[in-house]
Amino acid sequence: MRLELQNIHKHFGDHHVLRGLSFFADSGRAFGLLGRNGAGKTTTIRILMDVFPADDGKVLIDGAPINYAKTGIGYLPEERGLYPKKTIIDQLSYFAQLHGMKRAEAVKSIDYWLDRLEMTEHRNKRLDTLSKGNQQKIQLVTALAHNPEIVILDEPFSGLDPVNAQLLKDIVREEISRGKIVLFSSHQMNYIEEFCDAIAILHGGEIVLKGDLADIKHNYPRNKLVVRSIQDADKIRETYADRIIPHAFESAEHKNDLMLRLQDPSEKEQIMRDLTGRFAIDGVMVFEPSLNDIFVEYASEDTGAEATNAEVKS
Amino acid sequence: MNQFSTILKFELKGFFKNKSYVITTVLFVVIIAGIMFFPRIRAAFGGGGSVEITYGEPVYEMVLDATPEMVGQMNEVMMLGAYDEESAYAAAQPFAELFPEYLVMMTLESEEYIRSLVEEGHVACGIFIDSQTSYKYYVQNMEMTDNNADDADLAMRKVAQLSVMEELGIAQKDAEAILGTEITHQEISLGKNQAVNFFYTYIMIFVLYMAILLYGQMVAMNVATEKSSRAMELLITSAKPVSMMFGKVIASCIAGLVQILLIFGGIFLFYNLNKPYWGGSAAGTIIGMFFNIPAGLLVYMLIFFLLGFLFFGMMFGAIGSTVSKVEDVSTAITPAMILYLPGFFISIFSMTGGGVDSSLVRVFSFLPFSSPFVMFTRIAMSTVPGLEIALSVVILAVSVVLVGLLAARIYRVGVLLYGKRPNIFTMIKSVIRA
Repeated sequence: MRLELQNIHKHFGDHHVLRGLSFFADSGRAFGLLGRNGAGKTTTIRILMDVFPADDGKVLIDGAPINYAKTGIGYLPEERGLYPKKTIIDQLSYFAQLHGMKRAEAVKSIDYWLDRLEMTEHRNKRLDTLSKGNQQKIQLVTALAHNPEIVILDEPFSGLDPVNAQLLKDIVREEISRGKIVLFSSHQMNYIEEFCDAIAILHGGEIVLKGDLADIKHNYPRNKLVVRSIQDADKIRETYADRIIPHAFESAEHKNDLMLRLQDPSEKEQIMRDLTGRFAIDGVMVFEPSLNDIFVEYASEDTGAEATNAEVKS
Repeated sequence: MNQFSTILKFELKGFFKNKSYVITTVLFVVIIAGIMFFPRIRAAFGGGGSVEITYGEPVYEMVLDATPEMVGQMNEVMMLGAYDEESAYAAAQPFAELFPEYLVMMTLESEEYIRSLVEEGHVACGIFIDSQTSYKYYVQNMEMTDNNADDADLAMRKVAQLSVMEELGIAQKDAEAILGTEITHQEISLGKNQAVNFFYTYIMIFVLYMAILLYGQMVAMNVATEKSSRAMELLITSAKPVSMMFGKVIASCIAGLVQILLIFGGIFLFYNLNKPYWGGSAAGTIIGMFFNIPAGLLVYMLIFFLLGFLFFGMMFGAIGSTVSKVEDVSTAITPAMILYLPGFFISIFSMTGGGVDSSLVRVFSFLPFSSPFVMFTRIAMSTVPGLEIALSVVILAVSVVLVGLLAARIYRVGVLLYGKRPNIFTMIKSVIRA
């Protein structure tokens, strides 16, 4: 199954929030929708879920307009919240029934998920008696209990301890292997990197980068070198002053690593030879960006120009 | 439809499991039971034992139905005095006959003495006859329904007439016969009897008013609470706003009806259990009247109650969706309240003023925001052509659907807006755009 958004436009008043957004996600794969706060992720998700219509554009399933009565969508919103004063089983079965399940069927499925999430003992308690992390696990059940084909998880890992995060990872993997479309939205790039096969980066209402994560990384312009030199770092900085990208690794593990920009990837060998010949070098390699690096590069205001001319084919 | 019934069930369950709803209902029924059993309880514990009457020196007592025990219990004594002894004796009999509900006590003391008895609360009221054709009526607080003076006029007239006849040489027996000519009459109202219908119309208008006030506010609160707890984020993606709106409002309408039925059922049941003890008292008569509502009128009452409730409930629900904090609900619903006050007041004023068929009232009986009150009042108190009733119901029903759809739209836009409450114009703009 393929979920496809085609040329989606949305205005709120005079504000053009989404400007011709298109991407697709396939079943059995996880898709990461990335973007800074206010980039339009939630608006995209709401259009996808038919909370409000797009001004223009289409939401398609396998090429045909989506039929919400047939295609189930499960949603874990970023703003968590259920009914604090109601019992867990009552509200979970309410939400499952709103998605079209019969009550008995709903209860059966909820019991499975409560067991899977190790929450069975809380089944008949009021929600507000649970800790925040446990409330979040309950909320996760609302996204999964009705066995939807599309699962949308908005910041699913925030607020979970490492054990629960591991549990959630296992569940997400299971859902992916069951052939579901899992749509992630997160700022925690390490999770996206771990799960998602494909991503789209939203910036200013447009998709500035999209495609298979492996391809994106592979096609990332190999025009940067990482140089590690404990002895000659200052000398190198002087010599290559015009090539140095300042503050590149300030927050990283190796603070003193340097990053040099290449005019062209073909310069690589020449500069490497230069460096090793003239300085005491502990290591030099072509820069392999993490998703975090790619995200920062494409979703920052000041590098927006650079981003637009780097289309990656998937 | 499926979603709607799921929402309806969930919301209803919420009401019936809600402690304050259950407690208020039970409390109401218990209070009603207490009131209805009160005369029986009083009868069981009261009575017996003689009571000393300490005031003054009653020279003449007209004891017809009353006993001294009753005097002590009820303090319903009418003190009668006059400018001379002869007039006092002459007046005692006619006054006692005309005021069977009082123990009429005659005294030969001064006017000042009668006045002080009334002032200090020893007796219910006092009459002092100044001359053959004038008297003073003393009472501590003049009640709205007090028509003792009218009866006293009759008594005075009778005394005066008797004395005139006596002077003319007509024997006392003949004179009494002349004065005692009995006239009977029947009042036949070809339309409605406004006096009889007044009470239950008044009560129903008031119940509708209270129900909209309480439950409308509850609907608004309910929506605002869902929004502030962010359960809305999930709800809005799980259910259609129209199902949401109608489900919630109809659920609160049913909850309200159940509460009202329990309360009135309680009154009916406990009243009938204690009917003999209420006897002919004024309160008993009113309650009895209330349960004599014609069936047809009950049906209209239900129609207008339901439609009126839905009309305003939708409005309150939509308003609830525009606030971010539960505390803001009460200020936000003020405009909607102002909209429904005219209907209520026009009903009340037209009922008390008697002008239920004036053109103003007629106009308001068709406007959807006032017709639940005003048209019902007209039906109850006057004779309204069937066509007008049908037109009013149709206008109201169509308005309910329109307001419901509009409310669902406002709801969809409103629930996603957090922070500052949008003013009415931005709201209208975004609703049109959505």
